[in-house]
Amino acid sequence: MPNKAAKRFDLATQVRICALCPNMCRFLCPVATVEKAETITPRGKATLTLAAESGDIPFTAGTAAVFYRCAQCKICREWCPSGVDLPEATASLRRRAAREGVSPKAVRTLAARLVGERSFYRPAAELAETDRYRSLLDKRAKVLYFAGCATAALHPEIIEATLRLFEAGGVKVDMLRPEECCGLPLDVLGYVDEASEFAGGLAQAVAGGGYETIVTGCPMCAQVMKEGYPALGVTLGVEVKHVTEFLDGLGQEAGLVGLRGRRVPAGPGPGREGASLAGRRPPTDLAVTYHDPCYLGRYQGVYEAPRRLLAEVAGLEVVEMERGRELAACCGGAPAIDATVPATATAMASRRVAQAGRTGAGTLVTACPRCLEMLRAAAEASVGAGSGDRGLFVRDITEVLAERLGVWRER
Amino acid sequence: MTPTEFEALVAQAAVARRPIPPGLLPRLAQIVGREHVLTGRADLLVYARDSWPIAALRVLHGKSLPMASAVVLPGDTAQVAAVMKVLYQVEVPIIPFGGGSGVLGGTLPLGGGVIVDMKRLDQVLEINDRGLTVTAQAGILGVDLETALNRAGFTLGHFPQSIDVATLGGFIATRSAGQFSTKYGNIEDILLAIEAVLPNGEVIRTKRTARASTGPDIKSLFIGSEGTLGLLTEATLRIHPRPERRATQAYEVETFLDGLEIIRLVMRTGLRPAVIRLYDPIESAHSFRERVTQGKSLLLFISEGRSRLVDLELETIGEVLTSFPHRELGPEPGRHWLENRNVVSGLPEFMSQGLVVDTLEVAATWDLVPGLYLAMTERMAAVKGVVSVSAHSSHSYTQGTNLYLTFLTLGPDDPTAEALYQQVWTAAMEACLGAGGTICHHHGIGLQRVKFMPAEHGPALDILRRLRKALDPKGLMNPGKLFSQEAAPGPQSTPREVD
Repeated sequence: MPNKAAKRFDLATQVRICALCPNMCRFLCPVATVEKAETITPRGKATLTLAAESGDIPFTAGTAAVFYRCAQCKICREWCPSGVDLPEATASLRRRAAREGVSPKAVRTLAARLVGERSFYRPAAELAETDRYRSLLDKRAKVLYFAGCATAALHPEIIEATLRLFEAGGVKVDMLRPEECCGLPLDVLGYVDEASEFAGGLAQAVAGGGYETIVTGCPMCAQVMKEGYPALGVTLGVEVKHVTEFLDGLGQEAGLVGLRGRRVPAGPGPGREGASLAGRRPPTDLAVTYHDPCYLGRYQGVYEAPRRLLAEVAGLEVVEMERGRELAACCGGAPAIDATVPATATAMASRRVAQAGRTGAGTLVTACPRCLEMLRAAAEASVGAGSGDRGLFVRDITEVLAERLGVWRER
Repeated sequence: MTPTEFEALVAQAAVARRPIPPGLLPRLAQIVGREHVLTGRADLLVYARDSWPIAALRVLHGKSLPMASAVVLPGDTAQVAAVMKVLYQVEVPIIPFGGGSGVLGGTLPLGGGVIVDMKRLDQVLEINDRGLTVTAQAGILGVDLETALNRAGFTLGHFPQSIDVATLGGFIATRSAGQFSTKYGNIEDILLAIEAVLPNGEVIRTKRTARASTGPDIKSLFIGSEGTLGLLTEATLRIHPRPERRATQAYEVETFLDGLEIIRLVMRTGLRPAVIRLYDPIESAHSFRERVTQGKSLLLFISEGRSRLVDLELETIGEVLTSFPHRELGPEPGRHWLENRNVVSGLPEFMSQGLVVDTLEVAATWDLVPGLYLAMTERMAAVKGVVSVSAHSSHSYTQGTNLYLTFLTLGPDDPTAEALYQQVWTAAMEACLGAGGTICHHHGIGLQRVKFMPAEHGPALDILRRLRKALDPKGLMNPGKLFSQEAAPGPQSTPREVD
């Protein structure tokens, strides 16, 4: 019963409704499902919000920590017939925690590192991936490809696969050098001023480049640029698209070659050539399952584009999980969860991998570098743990598409 | 300001409240792991409530609720046993906690103590295809159990509205009923065996069997025990192959009483549709809108199982209807209900606006049902401040049915909200007892119905009291719930027949 209830109540009333509800969405909350404690459930957080507002409980570090154990995945909002957006209320308490200096230590450390290094993983200056792909870039391009720091730091192969797809589709692109964090982690951790500064920095870097569109493979980057920046008072002045939206649209727009109609090589499925996962041979069947990243699905409503690309461009069969699309569970990659309760994040990823495994598909495809990271680690761990599970081969959608079209091969 | 009824209860319990002994928390942490002992104020505040409207109202108005000293989340039966043993030894009250969906205050730590949250015991242990049974740990959410069964081609057939929130242990401890109970039975019909930890930490298991004539049924003692006799850790239940087909058929009937009569006759034929629901005109209009004529009642049947039997069942129901004025509404209202059956958003939405809404459910044999309906709706509506009383019937039997009443009180300001709420409840319960009904069909007793238990059971209540005393001589298990250990039994109610 996915429910897109209209916003009928202001945020304060929404919190009251949530506190008065029997917790009907608790079974979907990916954090509560792992941690079990009532405190972590949506109603628990709403109860605590009221108590914090009335002064019944002091807003200490202990209280604030609860509000960081939310993935901001919005699955509760999706399910709620009253349209309660508890993650929004939670976000405002994180801003208060950041302001009052009571956010968890791990969060403060992460925020400070982000501000210092301009990137989530490694200093942005070290992530100059553009150098490797200079021959694939065009300074006069109207399309800016924004890789995102997770992709640059953890999965640089996605950058090449994506650039090869652009090339195959007849799209000229450019990249920023250096490319800094989009600011979303700071925004979701409650550090609004810092996030604004990052947003402003990016706007400045983009300005004057003559770009019409920013395409990113990271749903978090796409989300913050689409909706986060305007809320922070920053205007990019260009259209922002996730790579799946962009590639899906190719060929439907005049002047672009597009990916549809290209000959998909016959024969086995994703990863057929040499690639391996923890030394295993990848599956060769055509069945794949797809994990909807929270920031792409529930936030941006992009559900069909990746599925169409997998089916129509890559010629694969997409087998759905028990709960996909609007009700897809978070992979655990949410910055606050990963930073403050890493064991919970890992368990969330394992649960999602188990759900994917039940489809019988050998490959789990996703469209987010954070999801890729979490799910791949969980899939590898399930094999390592000797669970008897043959393990899923976890891939990014750009890798799968590029490989199926024969324009890129994993090295 | 006069303390509310609840505040008086809390004050009474507070007299016996003692600080927890030093060294207890480290001992508990040793058993369950440090991360599974919660003592932060944020945690204790959240665990101080369940879904009882009184608790919810207090949360809303920033009024305090008594808090436990700690919450522990054991991970298996051995840990539960070890926790119970320690707590019992040092004489600290033990409050079992499942999904917190109870609507009667059954998990409130009135006099403090330690809450034992069972949700880490969440595994399906065995699905037995030939025996048609499932064994699962008590802390699993109903929805997770049903999903696991569906995956294997089975169903439990137990669908309380709280299925997404409540735990298996909670189903049993509150003696719950599901929406499809007319076909699959209530929890007492579904439950085959239990594993439980007694207050002193001893673990007992009853045998998994189709039936037994081996003395009084030990597992039954725990059905509806509301955490007062021990802690359920595991259960074995009947399962069914998933039905081949599900079909729905709805009718508009002239009056609610006509509808009740139709249900009585349907049940008398021996039919067992999965669902029979009858709504009075207020609820028909509220839940089904333009599908039903204003002032008429909607009667809904859902049949499931083998396709040919489903057809036959609905056809036979249609024959019963021929003796009554009615209008066929087809399958759509049933589909609408199936889609929205667990949407309860109206209650929190109303209450967030300052109204008080609650539901209560009672039952009686067919000879008494019409009188019960009339007496209760009349008495409840007569309470000053009540703006709406409505009813439906949702669980039927050959011998009778339940009545599910919903009341709404308009605009009480905060200090009087609790008092008005209690007035309506008292009117409802007194009317029910007077008409020969039982005060509860499936929500249980919790705190809210405790004061009506002597009138419900009469002197027989003393048997429960003695049983509780035998298993829990120190009176530490969920104190103050289900019935008062001290109160003298009141006079037994006399059923009054209504033609």
